[in-house]
Amino acid sequence: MKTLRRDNDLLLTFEPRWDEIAPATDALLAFLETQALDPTSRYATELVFDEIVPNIIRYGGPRPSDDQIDVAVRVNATHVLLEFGDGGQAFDPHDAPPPPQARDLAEATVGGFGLHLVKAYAERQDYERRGERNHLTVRVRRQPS
Amino acid sequence: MECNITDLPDGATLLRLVGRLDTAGVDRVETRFAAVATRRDKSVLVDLSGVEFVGSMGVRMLISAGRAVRAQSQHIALFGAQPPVLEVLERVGLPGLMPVVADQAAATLAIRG
Repeated sequence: MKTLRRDNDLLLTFEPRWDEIAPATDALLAFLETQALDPTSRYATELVFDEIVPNIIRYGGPRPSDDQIDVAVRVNATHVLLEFGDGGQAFDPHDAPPPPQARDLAEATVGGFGLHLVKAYAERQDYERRGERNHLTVRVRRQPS
Repeated sequence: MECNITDLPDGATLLRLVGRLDTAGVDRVETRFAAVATRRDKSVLVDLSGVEFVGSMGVRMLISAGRAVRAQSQHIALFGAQPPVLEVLERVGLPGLMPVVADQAAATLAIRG
C-alpha cells in the first residue's frame, strides 16, 4: 500500500485484496486523528470508507491483474470528500436495490445494508465511469464543532 | 477487536465486544463470536458498551448470530450501545429483529421474555 499525506489530504493506493483493508483503515484513522473533525462527520467518514472499499473488493468482478484501488480523502472547511477509483466492473451505487426489510430474525437477510448506510450518512454521491475505471465521490458534510 | 465470553449463573452467555466492529474487526472476532452463538441451549447477551464503531459487516455478524441463536429456540439481546453505534443499528432496523436495550439488567429481562 502506498500512502501520501499532505496537510488536509490523504491518498491511498492499494491492491484490491481483502487483507489490504486493515492497513488502509489504519492509515485513514491515523489521518483523521490529525484533522479537527466533529464526531458525527468523523464517524460518517469512517463508515463510508468501511462500506465502499470492501464493496469494491468483494463485488468488483473481473478486473485487470495489475488493478489498484485509489482512495483520496480531502478535508475542507465544510466537507470531507472521499474519492474512490478502481478498475472493476461498472457499478453505480445509485442502482443498488433498497435495503432488506424483515419483520423477524427468521426472515432477515444478513447483508445488503452497506450502501443504504452510505446514502444515509453522506450528503451526496457522484458516480462516473471514466474509460475502464469507476470513480465515486462521496461528500460528507462537516457539522459545527 | 476483542470478544470476551462469560457464562452467567442463570445459564445465559455474556459476550462483551471491545473495539471496532468494522470490516477488519469483524474478520478478527467473527469465528469466535459465531461459535458461541451456535452453542446449544444458551441464550446470549451481547455487551456493546466497548464498541466504538459499527458498520454493515458488524450488523451482518449480529444478525447472523441472532438467527443462529433463534434457530435453537434461544434468545439474544444487545445492550449498552453508544449513541453513534445505536444510530447505525436503528438505521438498519435491528431493534425490530432483536431487543436492543440500555443495560444488562434490561437485556436479561428481554431474553426471559
